[in-house]
Amino acid sequence: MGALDKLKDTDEVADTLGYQGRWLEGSSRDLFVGMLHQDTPTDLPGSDSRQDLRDARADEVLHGERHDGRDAALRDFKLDPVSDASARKIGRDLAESVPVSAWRDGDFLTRRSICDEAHSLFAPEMAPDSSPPYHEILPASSLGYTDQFNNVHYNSEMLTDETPQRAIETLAHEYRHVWQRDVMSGAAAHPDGIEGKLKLEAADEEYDADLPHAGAYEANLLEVDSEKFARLLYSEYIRNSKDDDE
Amino acid sequence: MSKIDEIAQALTKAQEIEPTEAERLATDVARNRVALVVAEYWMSSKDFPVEPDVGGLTPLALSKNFRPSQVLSMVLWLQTDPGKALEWVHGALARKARLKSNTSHPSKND
Repeated sequence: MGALDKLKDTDEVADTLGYQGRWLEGSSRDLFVGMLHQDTPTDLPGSDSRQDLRDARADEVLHGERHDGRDAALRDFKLDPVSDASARKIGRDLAESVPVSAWRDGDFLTRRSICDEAHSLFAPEMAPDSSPPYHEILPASSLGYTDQFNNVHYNSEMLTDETPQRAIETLAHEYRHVWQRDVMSGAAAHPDGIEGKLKLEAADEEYDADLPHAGAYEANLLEVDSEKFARLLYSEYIRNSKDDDE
Repeated sequence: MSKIDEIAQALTKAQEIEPTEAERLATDVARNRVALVVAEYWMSSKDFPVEPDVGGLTPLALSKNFRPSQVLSMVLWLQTDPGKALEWVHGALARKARLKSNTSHPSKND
């Protein structure tokens, strides 16, 4: 159970955790945008405490409930070991390349560059032939999508966020979809072999349902797999991102 | 005939769909003002309207690739959760493109 369980009121959350944040509701992936990593107290005794805070925030990203309809499906889902290691590696590489503070201090163009940089790290692991992401104005609750040509689109509104969480998670989520499609088309191999591929194909068939039943989207393997990958990657990112002032 | 029955009947006439599925969808559509207008337009003109336009996804555009039941389902989702609808629609389009393409690619990990 995460520390944010059942807490939807921003003040209540802030009081509980001692930091500020805000809920972004109504999106396909509602999330609590915490600011632990940007409001880290400056009078902490040492780097160990800073790491403790980063670890706490990373754990919250990975295990905290978000009340977005995906909690139950994600709780029981495990990535295959190869994908798990890949998500962690990309998260660490991203932290090495772009600290969280670069987003915080960056302007619109800088943040767009960070998204492109993220893609350059995602691509070799997940989607070697993919293009950098396109930012565009999307409906308010839409974070992003992968079009039929495997181009990833993200909501440019995220470039105004105070933290990179929505942007990085969305990009990781969408490029994971590109990888899934490569597996289904035979362009990439699933670490679990044919069994992994067949499971993706079975989930893909649900897209042909006449009326997707309630919860079908949230529980769809393609979505759960992408979301788990994205959250794991982002949690490793903030766990390993060293602020410039350390 | 009730509006629900009218929509359900139009769906079963237009495509292969389980009667219970058609009735379930018709009930949801009848409860949603926008979806109901879209359904009524479709039933009277046999075509889908160009509104509402959510992120470029209009009922008419959707109807070029999806069955009437799917169009009405997406109209519902576009009202309640456009993000989810966008992902679903593009996922479905990608699936269609993949099935259409008989190109086989050698595995990169082979």
